Amino acid sequence: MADLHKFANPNRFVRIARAVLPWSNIVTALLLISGLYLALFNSPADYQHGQSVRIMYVHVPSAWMSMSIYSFLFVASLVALIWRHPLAHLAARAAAPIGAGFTLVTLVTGSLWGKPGWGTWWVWDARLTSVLVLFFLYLGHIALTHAHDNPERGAKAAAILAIVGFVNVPIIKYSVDWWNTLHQGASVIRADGPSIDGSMLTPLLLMSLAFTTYFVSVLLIRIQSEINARKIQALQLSQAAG
Amino acid sequence: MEALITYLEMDGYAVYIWPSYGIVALVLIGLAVWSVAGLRATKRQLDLLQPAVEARRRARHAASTGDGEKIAEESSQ
Repeated sequence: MADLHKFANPNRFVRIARAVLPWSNIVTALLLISGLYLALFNSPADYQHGQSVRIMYVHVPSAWMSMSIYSFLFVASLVALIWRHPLAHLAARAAAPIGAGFTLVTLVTGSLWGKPGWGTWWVWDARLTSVLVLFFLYLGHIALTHAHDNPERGAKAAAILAIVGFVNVPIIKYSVDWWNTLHQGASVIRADGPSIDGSMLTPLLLMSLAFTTYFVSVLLIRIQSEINARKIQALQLSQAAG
Repeated sequence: MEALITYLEMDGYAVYIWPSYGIVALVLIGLAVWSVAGLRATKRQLDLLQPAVEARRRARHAASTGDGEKIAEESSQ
């Protein structure tokens, strides 16, 4: 925890964020360019899905991000409630809209891939329904952080929701094993190694890394905004107090 | 040109593939623009508020130490 508290000083955090941001932006751009090139121009059509497999290169990384960001939200909420780290609530509040965005992308691209693959846009099976629940959890978190005049109370309520809702993450991951679903099983993160061909795995991993560094960039920007918003609130209060 | 059209058609899957990449671009660019705009807005507000609050604090401090008139003169210049 001592290491974590090194970043507790908002001014120090802003200095680090400003130093990291240009690099994370550059890495995101390079990964996106190479990932998109391989995904759209230099990878084969699938023997079952045909050209529609190209949707996988945005759908799967978005799905991984939606779960990873929720896990980040869970950890940040725990740190905020247990150790009262001053930046943890701000980090959770900053991350939730990004997670909601990736979950929305997962749902829409999944639907667009489902129609040619399964013959339907949507089915109420375990995987799809649990991802929809994840999207609502993100919306609930965003709503709760904005629901109170006192941001501390809103952040606390949202943190409790994030912790309770974390039970949904393993349900999403293992839904394809626990229940009979239309959605295919895991083909990358498996005990016996990836079953996907290298020509498809490389663009998939590049796009996943690109989405991860994108998340880092946008998160750093949003946490700085949150820090500024807290400073503004404190200044306004001191002004009102005369 | 014909090769480009054939590529864009994606063997008949274009109607599913391009909207998928479109929604990704829309959401990711939208989130980034919204976040940068938010940061700029809070910075602007902070730049406006900070000097005003600082000036008031200095004036109050000066008044309590008896340098009120001097500070008032300085700030009017």
